[in-house]
Amino acid sequence: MPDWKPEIRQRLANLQLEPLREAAVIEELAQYLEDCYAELLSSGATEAEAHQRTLSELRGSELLARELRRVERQFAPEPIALGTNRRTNMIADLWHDLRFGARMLMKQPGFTLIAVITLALGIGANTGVFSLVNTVLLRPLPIAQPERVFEVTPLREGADIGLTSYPVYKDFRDRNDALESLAAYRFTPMSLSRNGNNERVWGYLVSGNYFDLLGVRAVQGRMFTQEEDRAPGAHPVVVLSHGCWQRRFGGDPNLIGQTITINNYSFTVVGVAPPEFNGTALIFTPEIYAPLNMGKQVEPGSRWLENRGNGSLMLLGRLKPNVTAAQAKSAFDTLATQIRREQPNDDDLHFSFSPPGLIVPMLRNATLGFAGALLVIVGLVLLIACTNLANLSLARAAQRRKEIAVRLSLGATRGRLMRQLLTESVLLALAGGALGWLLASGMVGLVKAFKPPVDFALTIDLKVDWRVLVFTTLVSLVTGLLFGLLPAWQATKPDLVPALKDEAGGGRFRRAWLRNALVVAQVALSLVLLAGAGLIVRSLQQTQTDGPGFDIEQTVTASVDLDLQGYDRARAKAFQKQLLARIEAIPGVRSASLTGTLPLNLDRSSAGIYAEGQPFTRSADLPEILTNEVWPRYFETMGIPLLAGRDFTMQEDNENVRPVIVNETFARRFWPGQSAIGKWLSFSGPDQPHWDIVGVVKDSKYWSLGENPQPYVYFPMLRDGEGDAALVARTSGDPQSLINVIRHEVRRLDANLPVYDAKPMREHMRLSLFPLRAGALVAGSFALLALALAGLGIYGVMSYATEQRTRELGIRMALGAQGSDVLRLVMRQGLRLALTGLALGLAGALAVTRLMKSVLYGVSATDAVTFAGVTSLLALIVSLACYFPAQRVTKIDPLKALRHD
Amino acid sequence: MKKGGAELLVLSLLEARPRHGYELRKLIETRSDGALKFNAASLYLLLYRLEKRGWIEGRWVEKAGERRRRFYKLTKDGKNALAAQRGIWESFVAAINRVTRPENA
Repeated sequence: MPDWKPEIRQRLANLQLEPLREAAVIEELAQYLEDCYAELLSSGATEAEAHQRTLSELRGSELLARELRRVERQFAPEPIALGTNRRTNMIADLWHDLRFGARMLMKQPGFTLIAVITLALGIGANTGVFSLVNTVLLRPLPIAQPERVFEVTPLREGADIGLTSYPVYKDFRDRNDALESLAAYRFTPMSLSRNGNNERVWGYLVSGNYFDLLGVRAVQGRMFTQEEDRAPGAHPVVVLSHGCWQRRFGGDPNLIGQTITINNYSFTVVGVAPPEFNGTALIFTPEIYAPLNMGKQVEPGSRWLENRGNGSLMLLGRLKPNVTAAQAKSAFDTLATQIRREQPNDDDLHFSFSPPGLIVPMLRNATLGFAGALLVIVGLVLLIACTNLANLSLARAAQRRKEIAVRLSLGATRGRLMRQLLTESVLLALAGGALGWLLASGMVGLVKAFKPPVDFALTIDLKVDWRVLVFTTLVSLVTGLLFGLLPAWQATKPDLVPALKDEAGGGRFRRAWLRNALVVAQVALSLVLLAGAGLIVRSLQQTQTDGPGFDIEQTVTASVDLDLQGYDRARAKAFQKQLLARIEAIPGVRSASLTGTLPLNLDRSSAGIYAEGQPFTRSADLPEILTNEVWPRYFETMGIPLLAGRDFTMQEDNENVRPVIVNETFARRFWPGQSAIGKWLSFSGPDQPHWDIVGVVKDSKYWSLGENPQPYVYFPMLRDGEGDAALVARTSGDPQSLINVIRHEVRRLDANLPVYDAKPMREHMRLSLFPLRAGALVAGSFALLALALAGLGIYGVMSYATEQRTRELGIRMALGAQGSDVLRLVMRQGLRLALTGLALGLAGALAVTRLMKSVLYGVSATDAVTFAGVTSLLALIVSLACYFPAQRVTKIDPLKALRHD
Repeated sequence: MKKGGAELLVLSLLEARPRHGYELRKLIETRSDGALKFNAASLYLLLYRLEKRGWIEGRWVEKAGERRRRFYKLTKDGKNALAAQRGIWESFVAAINRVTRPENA
């Protein structure tokens, strides 16, 4: 039997019909011709005759063609490539694919909407997080040639504070040959006097070459010269930040050359920094820059200019033109060894060179960890979204099987078809990406508006810049290819005959494994995410339960910086005594005290401590222990129980006594099994003055809520005095009203003294809870998002699967199966998938959460409660997602089901 | 007239039961003893037109062991149209007969 179709097609050229319709017409005519031909043969004609006479049946087909064209015009008016093999213009093809793809997507608005939203959520989340990572980690500082500038951090095992002292800095600055220049800076609060008011602002003390090294030029006036940083106290000059100049001085162009008062000292303004420059660290954004050698004026009572042993400065280095960071590092290490030979009391230093502008070294690891975890989380969410979409696309492609099969049979190449299907998914992805971009911008706006509970400025200048745009576009493209490739591949190799015969697909089982695998993957990924988020939430719970070890309900704190105000030690002490007496006289106040460092603040001091009876080699090897100075009644006020001995007394106000109080971890560490009372400790070595231990207090949290118990030493503030101290008070009444009274009392004693950080202790805790809270919020939201996506995905797949089986299930019901039997059958299939997913997810989660150990507090990485909880939750959601489609099936009329195809 | 006649033919043939294209052509040819012949183009022209008008309905049917074929059946509208057309035809034929009857004395 010859093939009649080409002839027919030729006669009916340019029909402009929808491919299916056209194929149907051609097929019908072809059959007719076959019947005709067969009959002619059987009635005795030769093949040639039969052939000719059959062809004559097609005479007059122009009329037919015309009629068809007229008849069928309501169908697609555009020429649709029937998959010719001609190599046409690629761009025209692409353009055509785009238009066709867009039209096909419009035809199924439900699918398109769900797909775009899913993608928007996934891509948007990734974009948002990437903006954060971009700002914090990737975007270079606005300085000249930032890739040549490094933060030079000394490493000392045990302490990761990474600060250098001024004398040590000078040695390295003058004697190294790997760097063009080495600058130093530190941040410090300054008291700025304007219009009779004092305000506490943050600023930098910088070395003379700081701005030169960075290549930052003044927009008004000039920057410092090297000369201005030579001698202590010689050049009282400042440079203002652009923001400060605008906000506080109204952008006054005549400000240069005038003086401003800082800490009651006159400084001359010599320049204004450019607007985009905000210092070289992300926290403590400076408003004022002063030379390092004005340190004593800016920080009265400070000793870090002379003190060799105390780290106080952060260092920045610019590499010489042909030197790499690694070479510079080894040069520094070598120099360090050299210098230590001359100064045996120096620490054993090694150096690390890292990109600047990040965060202070003590926060760097935590931030990197957080950012890394975030990226992993949103990556997982996107993966789940892709899986969802892949499944949806598979289902959709299966629906278009017929169309695809027809086009393949009419000569389209597989590659061409795949390209066209891929174009559709990329279109979806780009649309999702665009929407996701908007979402991310909104998210970024929210984050910007959110003010973390700290009293210094943060420069998290979240901008959605070109890097983020590139990232988003790339992610969208990759996503589109990812979820489109598999279905396109799958769909373009169907069995042609079943497709054309309109059957429900004989290859059903073969293809289902892919869909099922995707569902299993979704469930597994969601479980991993949920487990991680659950652990973080539990950590948060645990820290709340465990508590900080001191009272937060009935205590308040307020800080005054008497050093900044110009009080000397004696006057400061007198002021503090007066203030405390007044506060304690307030009705409702149980006790009040002072502390040098509030617990869970962002500052801490430590010292090398020698404990009686310990082996001693040299001071540099002594353990670094956290220390603090407190006034008498501190423990009572803070609610920290005294375990042994006594508190400090008001009589210890002289240099002859050296009492000290330690916490129980300290006592246990150095004198296990004995009483610490009566023992002594000292700084730097046993031949230094002995401090007698008079009391032991219970452990509390000092640096972070998630820390392990660590030794702590309290020194008596009354003895040496401390001007920059925080007042703490305990009340039986309302903490908030006490704060107002405190302000009032301070003003009565000194009207010009600024009170800062006055808040109930509960509010102070927000700072330390912030990372965990933020983490829980972020992880929790993303996990819930993943859960929703997974639920939707499973629901979609189950719906599709049950729809496919409608005929089979209808038969079963017609043959007597009850609705409940069918329900059970369908559910069993779904639940089997779900269980596999849960099992895999569990294994994955157990492996992954182990990496989270450093972030967790109070819960193990394999906490049974968490795992049980999230597994049950996911199992429930998944079961529901299986149940509803199964339910729907049982309601079908068996007769209709039988007719369904 | 030929067009009108053709439609009537097809519709009435479909009245008995649904048929496919080639079957229709054969029936027309045999029942008219070869007087009326359609070829593929003209037959399907007719069929598609009728289908568009909604008088017949085409559907693919698959029988066991055979290729699938497109069968056409009469719709309700088509039945009405058939009745109407028959009426017209009959009155037309009657009229012609009246005119062409040999004159009686």
